[in-house]
Amino acid sequence: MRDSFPFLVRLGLGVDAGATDIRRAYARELKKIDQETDPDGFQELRHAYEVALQWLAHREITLAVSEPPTSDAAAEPELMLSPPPAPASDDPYQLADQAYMQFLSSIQALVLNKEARHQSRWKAALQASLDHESLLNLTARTIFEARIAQLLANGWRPGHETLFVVASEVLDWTRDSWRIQQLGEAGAMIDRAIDQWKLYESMPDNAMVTIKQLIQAVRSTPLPEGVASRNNLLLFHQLTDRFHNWFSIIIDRATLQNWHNAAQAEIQRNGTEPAVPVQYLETPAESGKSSSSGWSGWSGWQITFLILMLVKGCAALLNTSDHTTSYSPPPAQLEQTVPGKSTAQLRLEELQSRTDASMLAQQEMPPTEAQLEAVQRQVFYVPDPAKVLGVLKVSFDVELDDNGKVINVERVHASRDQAYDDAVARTLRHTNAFPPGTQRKFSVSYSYKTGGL
Amino acid sequence: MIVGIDLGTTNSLIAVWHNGEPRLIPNSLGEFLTPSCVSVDEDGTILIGKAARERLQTHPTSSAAVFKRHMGSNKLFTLGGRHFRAEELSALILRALKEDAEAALGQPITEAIITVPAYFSDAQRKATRAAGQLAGLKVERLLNEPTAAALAYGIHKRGQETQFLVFDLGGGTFDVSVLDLFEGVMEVRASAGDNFLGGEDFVNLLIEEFFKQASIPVELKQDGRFMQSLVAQVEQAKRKLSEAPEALLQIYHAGTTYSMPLDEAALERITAPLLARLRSPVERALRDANLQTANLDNIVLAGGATRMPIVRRMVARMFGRFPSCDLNPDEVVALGAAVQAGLKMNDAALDEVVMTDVAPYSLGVEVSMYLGGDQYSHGHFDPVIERNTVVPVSKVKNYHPTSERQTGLRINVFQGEARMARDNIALGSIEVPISQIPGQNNGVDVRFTYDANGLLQVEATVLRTKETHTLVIEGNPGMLSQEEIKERFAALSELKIHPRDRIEFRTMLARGERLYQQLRGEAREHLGRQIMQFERALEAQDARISREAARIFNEALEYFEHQSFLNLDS
Repeated sequence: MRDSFPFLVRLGLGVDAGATDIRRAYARELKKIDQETDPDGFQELRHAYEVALQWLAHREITLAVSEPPTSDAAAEPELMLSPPPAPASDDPYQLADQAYMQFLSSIQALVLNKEARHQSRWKAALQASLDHESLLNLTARTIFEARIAQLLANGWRPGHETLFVVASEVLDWTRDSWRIQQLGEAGAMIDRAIDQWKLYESMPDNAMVTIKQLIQAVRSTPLPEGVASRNNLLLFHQLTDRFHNWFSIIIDRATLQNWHNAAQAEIQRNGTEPAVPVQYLETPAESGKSSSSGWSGWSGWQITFLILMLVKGCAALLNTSDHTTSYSPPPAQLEQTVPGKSTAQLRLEELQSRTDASMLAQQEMPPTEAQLEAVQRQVFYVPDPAKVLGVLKVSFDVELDDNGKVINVERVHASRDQAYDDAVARTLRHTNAFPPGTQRKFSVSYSYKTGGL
Repeated sequence: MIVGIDLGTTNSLIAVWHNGEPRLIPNSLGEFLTPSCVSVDEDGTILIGKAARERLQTHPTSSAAVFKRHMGSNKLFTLGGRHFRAEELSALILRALKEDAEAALGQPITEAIITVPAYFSDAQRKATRAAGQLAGLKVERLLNEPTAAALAYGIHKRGQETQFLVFDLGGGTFDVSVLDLFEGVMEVRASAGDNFLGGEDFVNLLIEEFFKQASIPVELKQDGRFMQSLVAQVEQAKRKLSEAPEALLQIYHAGTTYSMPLDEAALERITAPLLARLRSPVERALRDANLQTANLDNIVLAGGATRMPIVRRMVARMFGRFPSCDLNPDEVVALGAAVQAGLKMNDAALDEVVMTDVAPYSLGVEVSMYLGGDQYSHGHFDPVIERNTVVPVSKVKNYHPTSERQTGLRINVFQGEARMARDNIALGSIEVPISQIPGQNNGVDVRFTYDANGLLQVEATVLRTKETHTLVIEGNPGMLSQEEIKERFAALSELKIHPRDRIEFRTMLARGERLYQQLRGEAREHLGRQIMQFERALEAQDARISREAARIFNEALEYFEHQSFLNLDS
């Protein structure tokens, strides 16, 4: 037997251990420990067990990837296009679709009727769908919620600025970020958008007004080139990094792209110095007077608390945390994540180091959205109609050589279906979608909605 | 000997692990369910259980019920001029249960496993443990109710591999747990719940509706006696609806009879807002466990409120199938507590069984977020222990001051899932003085330790000086200190509980008084005479005479109970 890993040694297993062996070994070791008198021993065993399960999932994907694609895989491509088998009347997908279509038509009516901009009408429409008989089935409810998330993540449509607020409240996304994070890539994107929205709401009044006015200006000026003021363009440039997920839900994507281009052009022409200083980040003059404003300078002892920076001494704990590694693409390019960091850190770093990311982008081009989509189109995967899988989401760390050839694929987040993960990994291994000079290391997430959206 | 106790909102039970299986212990009336009610009798003795429940209607100012809902709070209940905290009333229930067990087992009982709703907060758990201490019991373990139900269920399936969900709707709380059973390991994968949703809420909604529909004068809501008999009427009707298609709610007051017909459809319409609230904890537990309804092998029902057909139908619709009904939902939690007692005593029959539980909510601290420049956004919540982490667990995170001028850190500890700290439940705070040296590590390690009982300990260590501070819960008056517990234990011990051997007759008398209050006219006079005769027979203090009189009196009670329910106006 080869040298084993510490977590396997703890479980008394070798590197050839399978799922049943790991569970059995954990059960055996667990029975030797008194959880109350030996909490440390328990936590250490639990940790070994959880790492072993992850290691196993990882090993399986690596094995699957190293196998050549099976020849029969390409034999029946039409299967991909054929709809899933005719479902029974209590099929959760059908139930969810029914409710979703009904919801879409009711919000369409709201959008057409301009007077119905009130949140209460949207809330009533969403609540009516949720209360509908067809969504009593819990699986159907989850699918329905995932579709709403997807709808929002797909970019702004008329009324989405209201739907975003209403859905966040009615579906409890605001209060429970786990809930939305579990809805795949779209969910992760919306979770960040909510964080950004809440950050906006915790700003002092003058900053909120400035931002609100900017949003209105952007919305009403889809073609800013030569029209928008220099101050607005610079402010947009400053804010778009911090709020880009939120903006892309409440503002049309083409408009955002136009503003982005116009701002870049303006900066190249005249630099970043504003004609009139942009005030929104200035500390209010009464700084420190009231610590309850949630936005004040430091006044020593009584102010709430500080910043979290690192999760200490627990590299191993980090490995076991279920981190969300997907970033949704801003208009032009896909951002990269730093693997192995907790979500909390990512959110912070997202706020802090956008500038670093864009500097990186000038040296090595990250893969474009189009390239990543090309990979997605090549994925051959047929979901098992017998399984209810919902939204599948898998994340990989990908490594390229100088020629853009994929030399390593590592799964960092497994979906619920091994077959899907295998299919994506296989495609990544054999793709030639990335041109030479593409960034050497990046993370990528793909998701798949079984049952068809 | 360790006993297992289900200290419920409506009813409480006690059980032991005996000869390789859990067994319920009957109270002095021969019943397993002891109503969680306390009443102070005219002579100052304490009545527990059924007699106290009857007296809720006849003596509302010297009786109390549903106090579990106020565990961990500062609310005082006044019974016969004496003030009690929820812990103390619970302690009296525990004391009665303990005496039942001592009588049945013939040995003193000093240790217990007590169950609590999985979603009970830190303060509520500590209050429950204090109640145990006040009853003279060492609480060996606080066990989550759905986990207890799962133990009772799983003990019969220990050789199998199975995934199931426990749906526990009790009198006052709602809990959901998803479990995985393999190789004798019973692993709670996720728990979720609602601390303010239970059978009592269904009763309250029906009462509201009754007031509206039958135009009962609103002032009557202040009338303790009227309200308590209304509660009893509604409860009876609710229970009747579990067997019959319809029931009639009826109550008499000051010359008027108020009535409201009730059937399944009406019940469903009236309680729709409550039924809707059952969904979200189930959804959350399933999502947290990363499972779909189709992956569950079974749904185990616990808690008396799951007997209601409308609740069962709701469960069936949510899961697309009918739940398992082979365990008595009233008893399953107490049985599970006894299994845990068996585990705790290392019983040989349970050698191959082990259970792990989770923290049902996230625990963390308030932090500020760095925005660039010297700007911070305050009031964000940073979880240290994420919800559904397997317990016991201990985790450390490192925090830094935001300013070099800062001379101290206040670590505010919260429980909850919201992004902003203010939307979560504040548990307390630690103040840590720091003296900063530029370029040095001025951080603080914050360690959260969550034990198997669901109790939290927070410790902050200043990295530079290695000085350690422990969380002192401040501004949380809902908790007794060890000193206060000692004091109150002494005071409570002086209270006389009505003797066990005479409780049966006392309960019958209480029931007679309640019926007397409910009846009118000839029936009332007749019952009055029966009560007097029975009291006189008891005065003779002859066991044979008492027994015979009790038999006759009981028949009369049954007759009048039936009468009063069929037609109050006869």
